[in-house]
Amino acid sequence: MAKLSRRAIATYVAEQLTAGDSKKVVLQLAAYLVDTRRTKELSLIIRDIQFYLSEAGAVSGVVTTASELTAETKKAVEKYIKEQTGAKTVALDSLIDPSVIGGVKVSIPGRELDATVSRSLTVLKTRFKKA
Amino acid sequence: MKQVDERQDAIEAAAKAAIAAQASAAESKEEVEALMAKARSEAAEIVDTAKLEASQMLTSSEEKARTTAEKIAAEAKANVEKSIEAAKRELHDETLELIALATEKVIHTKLDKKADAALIVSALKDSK
Repeated sequence: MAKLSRRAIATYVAEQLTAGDSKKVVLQLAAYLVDTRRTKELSLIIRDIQFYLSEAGAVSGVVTTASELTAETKKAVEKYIKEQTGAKTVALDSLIDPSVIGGVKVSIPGRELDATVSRSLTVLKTRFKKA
Repeated sequence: MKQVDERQDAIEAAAKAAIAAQASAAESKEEVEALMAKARSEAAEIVDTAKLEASQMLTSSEEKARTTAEKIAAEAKANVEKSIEAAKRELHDETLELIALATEKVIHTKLDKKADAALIVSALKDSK
């Protein structure tokens, strides 16, 4: 069996997911990667799938905050992503990380917004330091 | 009589010789004086030249010493300025660290969920 390119795999999976056949395609992908001993490429393939899905209007991303997002803030983040990407649907994974102190970090395929307090403090410490 | 004449001749010859010797002595004296004058002039010239050279050497040494002193002073000044600049930079960076640390401590205690939510909404609006 010829080795499929990562792009071909990602495109196929993205198309199947858009068509709504998620369970089947995920199993297919897992089986294929195990069979071809390419499980190490999983994270890269997922990133590619997310990229193709975002191009098709289905953006998935990770939101990092110091505490749990309220319904209002989650809505604000989704609205922000839609406005920035033109996405029709937004799927968010929420990550709680107290080290960010406050604010929000939004990571979506191809771009990232880091508006956390920890980032601002790092910028303060590094950008204004005299060389 | 002959003897008298011979004596007369001898006296005249002696007188002529004396005059010639006197003239020769005078001439020699002038020559000596001229030589002495020339020697004094040359000596004075040598002394003047030596004085001038000594003066020039002194001036040159003073110039070199001044240049060296100015160079040392300039280097010392540059080193001091460099040290001051480094100290200022260090102080500036330490102040930044302290500000960041203090801000972090204050935010940790002051930023509740409501304030954080407002901060998130504000940040999203600002980044549009």
